[in-house]
Amino acid sequence: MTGLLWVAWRGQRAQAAAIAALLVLYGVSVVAERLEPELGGLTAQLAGFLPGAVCLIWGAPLIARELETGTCKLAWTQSLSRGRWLAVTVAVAAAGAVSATAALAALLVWALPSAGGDPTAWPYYESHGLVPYARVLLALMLGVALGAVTGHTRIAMPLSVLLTGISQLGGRALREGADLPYWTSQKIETAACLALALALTGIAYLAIRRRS
Amino acid sequence: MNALETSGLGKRYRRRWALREATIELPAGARAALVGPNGAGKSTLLNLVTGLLAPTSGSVRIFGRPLEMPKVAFVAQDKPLYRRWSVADLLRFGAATNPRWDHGRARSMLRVHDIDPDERADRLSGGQRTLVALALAAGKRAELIVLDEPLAELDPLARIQVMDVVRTLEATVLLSSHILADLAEACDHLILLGAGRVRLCGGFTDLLSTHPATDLEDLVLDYLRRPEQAR
Repeated sequence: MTGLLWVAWRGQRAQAAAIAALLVLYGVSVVAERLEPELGGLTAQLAGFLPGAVCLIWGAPLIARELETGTCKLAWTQSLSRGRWLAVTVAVAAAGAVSATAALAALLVWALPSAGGDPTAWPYYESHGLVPYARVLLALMLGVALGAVTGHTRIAMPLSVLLTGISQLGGRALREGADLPYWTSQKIETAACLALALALTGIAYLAIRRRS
Repeated sequence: MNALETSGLGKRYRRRWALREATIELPAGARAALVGPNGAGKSTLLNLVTGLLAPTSGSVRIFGRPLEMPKVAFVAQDKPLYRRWSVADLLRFGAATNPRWDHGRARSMLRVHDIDPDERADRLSGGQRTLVALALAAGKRAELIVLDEPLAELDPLARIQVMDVVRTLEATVLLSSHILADLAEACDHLILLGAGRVRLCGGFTDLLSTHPATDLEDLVLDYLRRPEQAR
């Protein structure tokens, strides 16, 4: 099993490094803005950037690139089943996405300690509590499933970013309409994102099972 | 014992049959050349045998049993490898994904051909890429090794190197190629496909003893020129 984890990590470490670099870049801007309050809240508005970055950089190419370059034929003719291969591959990506979210949350708890009186405000809500973790997993699986179904990185990338954005904006619109307490709305949205992510994992599995 | 048996094997893409009613028997230890014009169904047959494609009809049996992946290795067309990985990484991949992995066997094959384990896959020549793919198949200790056009786009020297390795593989081998001359020496069985159907299947000596052709190339060319004779 540790060997398979290494295989998945070897295949995804470039994506992990790119996400880490983005986080560092964002962290530097957050620190700069804290030291110079004049800079005007740009980093706060960008606090929900991570899901989009994850589906673009990590999710969309994860299977699509294997299909494009033909390396799936190498991976799928070894001694493990496609289901097991997908499980390990997705598990490593999910662990990476969740770790990145945790790092971002830690940074934002320090940078945006108070909600400015309103915990449902966009930058605060998208970066605190449970929703960011569920959202990032949904974004990741949107990219993975679209990549597996279409077989093209160039389709999966823009489409998954678009749908991730729609899920964020749609969540915000529903929240404003429903006017639920903070934690109720967090829990409902978390559950919805996780259920969707799970369904997309199933779709990705069905898509690779019937491909050559 | 037959290493490979297919019966009534077929694959249909929408309305077109890429392969139809393919019934093949390959005895254990055979070195079989799969020959036929472009679009005859060679890749489809190999993808069905290795489980990459699911058949529309018929079945595949490997050593008398339904397909089990540890028993079969596949060197796909264009030898796909993870481009940015080193050769050593690729061997580690083979070790991690195959329970019967024999590291010594894979390593020694690469050492003999002077392939640096630290070299990245995308910096290897076509011949070296083929040898790395073969080392993965050998390390897996597969009992049936299937190769789709392993000689395509290789220079003559690399073709000789690759066929030398194919000849020493400790497994039943099924490979497709256009280059008949290279196959005649290394192989002892022939499967000829034409328009999605099996035209000929058997050992060289048996096929030549029942046909006026004097050698393999004559035999194949004769069938390709007069396909109607096949039925």
